[in-house]
Amino acid sequence: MLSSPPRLRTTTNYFDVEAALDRCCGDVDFLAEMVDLLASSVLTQMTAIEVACAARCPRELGEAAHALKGSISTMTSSVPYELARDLESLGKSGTCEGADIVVSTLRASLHQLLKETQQWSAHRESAPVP
Amino acid sequence: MKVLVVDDVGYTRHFHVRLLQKFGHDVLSAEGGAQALKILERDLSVDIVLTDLMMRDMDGVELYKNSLRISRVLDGGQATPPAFILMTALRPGGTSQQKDIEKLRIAKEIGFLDVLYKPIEPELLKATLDNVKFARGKQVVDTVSTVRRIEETVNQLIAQQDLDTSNTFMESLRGQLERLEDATSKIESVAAKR
Repeated sequence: MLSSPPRLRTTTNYFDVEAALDRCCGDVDFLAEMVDLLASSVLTQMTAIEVACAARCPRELGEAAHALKGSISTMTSSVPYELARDLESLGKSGTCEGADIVVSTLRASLHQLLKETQQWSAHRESAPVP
Repeated sequence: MKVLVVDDVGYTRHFHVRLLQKFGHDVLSAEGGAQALKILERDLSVDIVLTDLMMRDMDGVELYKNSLRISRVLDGGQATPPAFILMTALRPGGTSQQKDIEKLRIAKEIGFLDVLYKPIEPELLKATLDNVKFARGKQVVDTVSTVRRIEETVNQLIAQQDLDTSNTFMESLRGQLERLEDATSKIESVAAKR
């Protein structure tokens, strides 16, 4: 009996596999490549956000949040994206007031997003080739 | 086509480079406006610049303005300047700041070919670049010289009072004009249906 093909859809909260695949022209290998690169990029950008927030620098906060928003937009349009967008707006409006709590929630949601993308990647690698 | 991707965020830059390579384009990349200008100065064969709007060193609109100062003189004449396409995550009417929305308006006015909103749908990106390819591939038809030559021929025929050649010439001109009329009315009816 033939094994079932790798499942590309996963029941996740943040990682929108279907939309991400569409953005990669349906190319699973291309998406896997972008998933592999996501963690290091996102963690660097998250650190930049935290540094800007700690330094109370709205301009840096806005720019760092903008960069993060762009990076994760291929994978999600839900909570992590919305939080990055909120931080960007906050920074661009010239304040860091209230940013700490948003940064903390963003970090947790990014952790979840990365977990989901890595699960998808692991599942893909372990799935037998049909 | 040769496309230069300009984005100061490495991850999104890589994504767009890979996407364009998948579409079969020859892709260069720059991590900011200054680096993009250097590339454009030394490589006059870039067909399209796909640039992000908001970048730390120079925004996409400034990049476009600065690129206009680059000399495009070649041995054989002027090199065609690249078409500029803007990428942005801004949304007019959304939560974006007014000054950023203003940049979008300026971009459209000063000569950007198109504005694509991130995350960009691959099909839309492909279609936009295909349109540029089509527009750049079109040969300019020199109708002025042609009409001038026809005018000279008509003058000669009048001067020589050559009836047979005049009739043959008018018949062939009428035939070509009828073909052109048929073709233009077809194009007009297709455009009207759109």
